[in-house]
Amino acid sequence: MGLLLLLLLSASLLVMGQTATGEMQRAVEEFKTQTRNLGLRSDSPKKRSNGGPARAWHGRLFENFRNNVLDAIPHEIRQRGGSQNILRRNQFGFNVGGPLVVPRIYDGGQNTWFSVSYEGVRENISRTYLRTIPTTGERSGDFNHVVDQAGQILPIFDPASTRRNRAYNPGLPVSTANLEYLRDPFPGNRIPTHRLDPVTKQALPLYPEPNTDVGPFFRNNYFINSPESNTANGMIAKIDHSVGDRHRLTFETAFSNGALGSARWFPNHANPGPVDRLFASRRGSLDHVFTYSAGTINTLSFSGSSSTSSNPEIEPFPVYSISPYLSMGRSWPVSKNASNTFVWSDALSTRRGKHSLRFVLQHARYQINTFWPQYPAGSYRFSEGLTSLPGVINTGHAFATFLLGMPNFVELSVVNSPSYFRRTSSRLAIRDQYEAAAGLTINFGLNIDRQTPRTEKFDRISTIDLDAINSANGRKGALVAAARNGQGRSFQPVTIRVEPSLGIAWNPRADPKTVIRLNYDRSYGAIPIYTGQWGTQGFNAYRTFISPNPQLEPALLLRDGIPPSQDPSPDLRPEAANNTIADLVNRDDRLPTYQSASLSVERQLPGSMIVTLSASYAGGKNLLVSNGSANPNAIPLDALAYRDLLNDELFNRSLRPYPQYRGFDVYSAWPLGRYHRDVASVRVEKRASRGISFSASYQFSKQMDDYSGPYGRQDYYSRENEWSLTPGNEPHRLQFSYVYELPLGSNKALLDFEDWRRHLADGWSVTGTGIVQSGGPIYLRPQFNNTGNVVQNLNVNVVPGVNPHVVSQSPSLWFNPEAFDQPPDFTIGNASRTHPSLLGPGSQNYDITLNKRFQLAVDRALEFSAAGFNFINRGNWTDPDNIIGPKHAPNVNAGKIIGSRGGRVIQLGLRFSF
Amino acid sequence: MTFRRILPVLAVALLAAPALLGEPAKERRNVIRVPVWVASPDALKMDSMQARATNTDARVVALNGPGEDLMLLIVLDMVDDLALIEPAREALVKAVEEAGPRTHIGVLRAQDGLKVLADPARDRAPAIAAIRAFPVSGKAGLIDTVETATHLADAILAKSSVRVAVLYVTDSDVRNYREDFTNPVINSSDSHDLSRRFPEGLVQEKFSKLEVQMAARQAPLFLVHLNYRSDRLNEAYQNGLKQLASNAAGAAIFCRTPADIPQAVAQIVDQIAAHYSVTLELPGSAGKSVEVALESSGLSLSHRTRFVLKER
Repeated sequence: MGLLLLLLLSASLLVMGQTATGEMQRAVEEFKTQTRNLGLRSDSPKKRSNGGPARAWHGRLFENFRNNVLDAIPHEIRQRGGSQNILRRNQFGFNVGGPLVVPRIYDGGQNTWFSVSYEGVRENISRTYLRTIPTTGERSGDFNHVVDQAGQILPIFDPASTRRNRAYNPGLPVSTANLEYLRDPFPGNRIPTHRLDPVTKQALPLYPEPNTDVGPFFRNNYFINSPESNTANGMIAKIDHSVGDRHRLTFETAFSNGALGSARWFPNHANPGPVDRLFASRRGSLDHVFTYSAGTINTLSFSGSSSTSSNPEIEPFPVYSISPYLSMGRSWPVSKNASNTFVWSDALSTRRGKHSLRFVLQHARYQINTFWPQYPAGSYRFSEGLTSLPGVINTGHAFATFLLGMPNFVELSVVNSPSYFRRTSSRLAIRDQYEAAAGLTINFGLNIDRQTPRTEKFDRISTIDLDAINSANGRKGALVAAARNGQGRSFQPVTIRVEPSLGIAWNPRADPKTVIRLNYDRSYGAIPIYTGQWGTQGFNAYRTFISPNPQLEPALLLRDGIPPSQDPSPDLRPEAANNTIADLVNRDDRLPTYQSASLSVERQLPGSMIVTLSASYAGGKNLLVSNGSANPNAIPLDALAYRDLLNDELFNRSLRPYPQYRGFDVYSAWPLGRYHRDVASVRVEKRASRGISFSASYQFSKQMDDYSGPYGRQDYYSRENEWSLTPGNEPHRLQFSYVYELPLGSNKALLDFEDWRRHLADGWSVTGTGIVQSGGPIYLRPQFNNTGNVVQNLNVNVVPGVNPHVVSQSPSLWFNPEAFDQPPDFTIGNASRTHPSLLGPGSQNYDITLNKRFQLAVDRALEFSAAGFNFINRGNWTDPDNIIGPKHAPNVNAGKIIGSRGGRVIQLGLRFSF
Repeated sequence: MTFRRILPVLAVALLAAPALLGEPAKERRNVIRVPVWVASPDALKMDSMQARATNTDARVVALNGPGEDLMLLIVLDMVDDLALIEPAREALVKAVEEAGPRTHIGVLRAQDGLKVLADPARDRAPAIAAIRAFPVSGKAGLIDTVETATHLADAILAKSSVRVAVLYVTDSDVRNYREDFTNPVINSSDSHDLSRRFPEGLVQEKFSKLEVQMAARQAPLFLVHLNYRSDRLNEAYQNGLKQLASNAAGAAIFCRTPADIPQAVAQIVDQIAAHYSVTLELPGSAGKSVEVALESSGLSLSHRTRFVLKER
């Protein structure tokens, strides 16, 4: 009997183990009931929601508001005695999205969703600039108070009195004791009124009066604090549609129209500031995702975008460049540019065993349509040469030369037609992610890129063929045009490149808390089709007039204007670009090449923290550089031995590899630059716990290159000599961000009220970011460049034995200028392009936002935010004066910092979400 | 009878009517289910437990522990990278195969709205088939469906004494939702825009709303995210997920390599299987927001401490 009972008990237990208990059966039934009622099953009855489909729509309305009443006065304005910076800004808009429903026609349900976002901006915001303009005395020709950087009177000489010095000894360098030319100073350092050029006299009233005296010596005397207006309206609309589980279509379209009213530097049409601009952008894309099986997906995409910019018609005014003074008139005063991009791609992802494979095929077409003449009213450059004592630095003044109407360089842009540039790129990308072993994943990628070079729709492009013979002088180098005389439609070959990449992620001992990553990749850039009409010479003309000797003769007289052209237009003769700075397109197949490798170790720590240590290297070659760093027509530096002879334009030109050209314009497309960057960094992340999350990273980096910076290379032929620290690369950088959901209100540790007070206590959070970084390397520049137009970017000399660092670094002296010197005439500087150890002042910025959310209903909330940008109102020092003068006339401001910039900005925001 | 004489009688009648005619007021009875984990290998026993709710004694009504009925609702939300999804499938299949004999596993998908792929059952075949056949398509759906999924789990908790848990397996990127949380630049010509310096605002707002909506949920929520991302938007998103799981007594694991995935899935399924479900009866005086403290002599317990009761 007992055995029977035992058997029965065992059997019942076994049955209970195999079938669900009553409780579990009830749970399963409830699951089925609930999922049916909630519409989660295929056999669920169709639901009709109360209030229609709009109840399922979500979105938001918002307004962000800024006004200078809320802000601190920026430091740069306060330092100039200003009391306000105009700021009025309203940014508003909405977003709504949900199931797409067309009443009585279509109910998208879960299959078709839409989203529409609109944003508008209305803004007036002040822009500030500190510049130097001529004093009232100078405008009338009185240079009695004009001094050099050392504060000594700057003598102005009369070019009309120039004569050869019979006592000149050609065997000795030109100096005040051995002048090649004699020239008399203007009596009293004053240019007589009747000598002023009539065109100059007409232009002078358009120069505003000085309005500040930051100095030294009347310099930095014009402070511009002018508002920019900014009006923009834009919209993004998206529709997402699923056809069963296997097909999904997404269509997105966007448009934006903007108008930027630029700051007015002058209150008249001689304004040298930026022009007003109109912007429009349009974009559309269509994606189709096809799920062939659980392990195979295909995505087909097409996108097209167009952005245009133009500026309203302005009254023409020539550009008068009068360095170091603010110029008059504007470059590129007329423009109409459109950039269109069309991309088609297909991506197939599939899984085979331990391999996840992805194949991408992409084809893109790029178009630039542009009409953008640089100097349609002419450009006139004035130098001190014609009012100097020929061959002697620190004499003469560009503004004095301007008063006499004697430019040394004149250019007129004649653009006959717009340009329609085209380019394509195609890519096959293969990626394999292989789970090689437990805790070890290997990623291998290979891209095959094919790039076609720039063409023009009507073949209106040209370049200088450096091997073609120029009929004018029988030397190599002649203008050639596309699709003519055996030339192809483009000047560069089609390029095909293979880009490999490898990545390894390894969990040592299969411990998920530690990940070691190793990555390597090599890639190539493309030669872009820039906005602008570079490379169309011949079809368009750059009529150029160059002084035969900038110290002795002007290019032309301002009062005579630019003579009418005798050349045909278009002018495609091989010699049509002679005597100009000719557009030169690189014709070989070099492409910017990048390579990088990195090693990192991630370790998960208690408290939801992750620490990542990493080291990386990146390098590149054939990087695209501009005219400051590439000059295939440069004169070799050993020609400096010719000294003052180099000022003779004809002689100077004869030393160039292509003497028929004054220079070449390679735009920013000459593949010559190299760089190398090493980085070590540590990053700490703490994911949310107790409402706090933060991340912080510190990075130490060193980057060197042979091309970058505001000036360019001193020696075009020796890149090794140009290898120096990259300007703008801050070696130390600390960055952090945090979010803190305050522990207040419902279900929180503090102020957990159930009554009306919960509305005050709930929903507070603080978010912030901060950046602290050191300054970048300092680059120094000599006051004078007396190298006969051989060296464009002269470095300074180092004074041996003098420490460039100061004991107590402060704005009154950031570095020791005594450690540097102006190189003697016709010699190059021996310092590097950037200083190897001097850094500019660092900067700090801290932003914070405080949010308060009012929960109006379960799915409705009103959120108020107050954001403070640079909320501690910190002023960051500007860079020190980097101009080094000669020992006998040093720049008294060298090494000093004249101000700081920045100020707290407050933005208030209100957002209603539903 | 004048109106003045009738008035006091009417007033007394009105005041007395509820007491005379209506049903006697029911004593309010609040029952909550608290998921509990025990740090030591010893089992938790009902008679050794003491419970307090907002400093008042509460009664432990029932205790369901490991080895007892468990309904695990696996919600799949995987739309992106097969290299991560396939290891997740394999890990899930393994976890389903190895689940305890009294575990019922249901499978749902989150993309384009919550859908049942396999009803909870002890038979592993439907769940495994659903996981294997699950299509990688559509848009990420976790934050659109998590409220409904936990509502479903709560409804089951309310109807039966089984333990119920929700497990999301997701590779969701905050940029891959139908709803736009990225606040993309609309006017590219607007160079003075500062509003996007804090791009995480919309994500944080969404999670705040979800927290309110899910404050009264009692079923534990677990997440395995297949792709740990470090950009600011996804950092905010993944923080929100972690907070959501933490508020619901669950946990979230973020995998940093594909190799992490099997271990993460196994770890979280083990954690779910190990949980106790303690049914507490709260005193009628308990407010809407309740702070719960559970103790058992000699055992170290970890459990959710704050509950919001549903509106009565």
